[in-house]
Amino acid sequence: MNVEELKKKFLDNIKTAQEEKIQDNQIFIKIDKEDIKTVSKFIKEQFDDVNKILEQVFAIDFPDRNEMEMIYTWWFIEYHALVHFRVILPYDDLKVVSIQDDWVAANWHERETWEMFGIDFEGHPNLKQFLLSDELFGKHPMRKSFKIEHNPEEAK
Amino acid sequence: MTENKERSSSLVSFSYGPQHPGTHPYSLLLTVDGDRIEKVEAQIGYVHRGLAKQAESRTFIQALPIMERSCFIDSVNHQFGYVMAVEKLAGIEVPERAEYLRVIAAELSRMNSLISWFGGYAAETGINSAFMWAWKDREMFLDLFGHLAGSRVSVMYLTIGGVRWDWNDKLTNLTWEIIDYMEERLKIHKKLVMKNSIFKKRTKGVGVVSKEKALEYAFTGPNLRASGVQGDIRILEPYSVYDHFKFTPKVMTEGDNWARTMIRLHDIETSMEILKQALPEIPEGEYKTKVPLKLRANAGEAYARVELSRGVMGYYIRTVEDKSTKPYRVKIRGPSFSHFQIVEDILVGTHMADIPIIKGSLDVCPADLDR
Repeated sequence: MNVEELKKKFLDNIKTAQEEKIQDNQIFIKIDKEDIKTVSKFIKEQFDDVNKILEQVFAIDFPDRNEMEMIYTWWFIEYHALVHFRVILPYDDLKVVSIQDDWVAANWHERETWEMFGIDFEGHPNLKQFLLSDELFGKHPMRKSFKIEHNPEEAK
Repeated sequence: MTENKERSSSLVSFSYGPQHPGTHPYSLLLTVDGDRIEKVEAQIGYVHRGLAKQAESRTFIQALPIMERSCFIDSVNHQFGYVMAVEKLAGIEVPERAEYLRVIAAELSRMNSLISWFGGYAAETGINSAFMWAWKDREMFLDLFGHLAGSRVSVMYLTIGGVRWDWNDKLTNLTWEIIDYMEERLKIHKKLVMKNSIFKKRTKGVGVVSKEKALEYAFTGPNLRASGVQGDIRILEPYSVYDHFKFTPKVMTEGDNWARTMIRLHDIETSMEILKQALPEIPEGEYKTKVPLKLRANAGEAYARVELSRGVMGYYIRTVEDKSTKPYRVKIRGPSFSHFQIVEDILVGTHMADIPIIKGSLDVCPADLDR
């Protein structure tokens, strides 16, 4: 299956999927946050002929837009394709369903995102302090509102 | 019932590391029943430096040295991913000579990383001579990097738009010397370690990761290839000029410590194959494109991946304003972060003495684990 066919398969089967762009072998698709579980199950069950891994899960903070973005990346090894699913979380509802029961690899990625951004993953069994030291814990340092005290001298 | 009571009272929990010599700066919270491991909880974060956050307050070029610090031992490849992502974002063309020099430096760095790992792993299985010998070999690479870029460990050779210094005949000679030397040394290493009956007993059939489990835990690189899936992006999705060379990374199906060691030794040979093809063919021309110091990129996002000596390293860079000089968000996807998660699973049911052997075979770098 090539990149175009893969894209079509997602757009046809996931109700809220909107195509954003294709960069080389990477597909960017935007979905509603309710659909992330559907997507994770769909990828797990519908692609028997290909080896695939959940490459990463991470978030980006947008204080100007009052929301955060989350990106889930799957790698379809034999298709030589990557699919990025973008989910938008508004600030007043920083919650998303955990996909770690379908994809074990998501466990630590979600835990890191929870710690760094304060996004809650419903159904995650082990959301507890992980990478941060005690002084920083709970301050969500990857948010834009967290400033590093000693900035390097900025290039003028 | 009494038996159960006795059993539960014999469980002991304690922390294995971070001061334990068999661990790097991370610890495992173990629950053991005698010598048998019942439960493992990995505790990481001892070397968390917030590299991604630091990059947000620096310009694209200022962030280069930090990216190398994700793990010092394969430093060229770490930078490779970052510069590719920035070039993709800013639309910078790289001259072919620079691409060749990048590949040569990256393969030397990969060999350096693999031989260091091999020495460390041999020491963990008790073969200390192999450790000393392998780390002696590593000196050859460090000396070459010294000649190449002026620094031995954090090489800082790559830059946005090309490489920082041009290649010369002395470096070509040194690289050929390394290839000849390593071909002989690999035979000795194989004889000393791979034919050692203790090593065989401790690695064959131990720490088996099935293909399904490897995929579930998002294994990449040599660890994935040891479990039977060809996942080397140098041949699957060739970046830079990797499509100019013929090489076949090894795939094995056993998925045990032995297979992972064999794959890594074979990877050194693969790197030598690439170097042998690349060295005579370095094209003439510029070794870098002129890029302004205050490089500007338009709003957008780019994700670039490289094959590290450990697995797939990915860099996602996002900018939100046109003509931004700094990245808005950098995400570093390190292979060790995915690989290390499996210790909570495969160590259960094994013995205390197997911990360093299984953990070591995954080639986890704590710096790339915590970032």
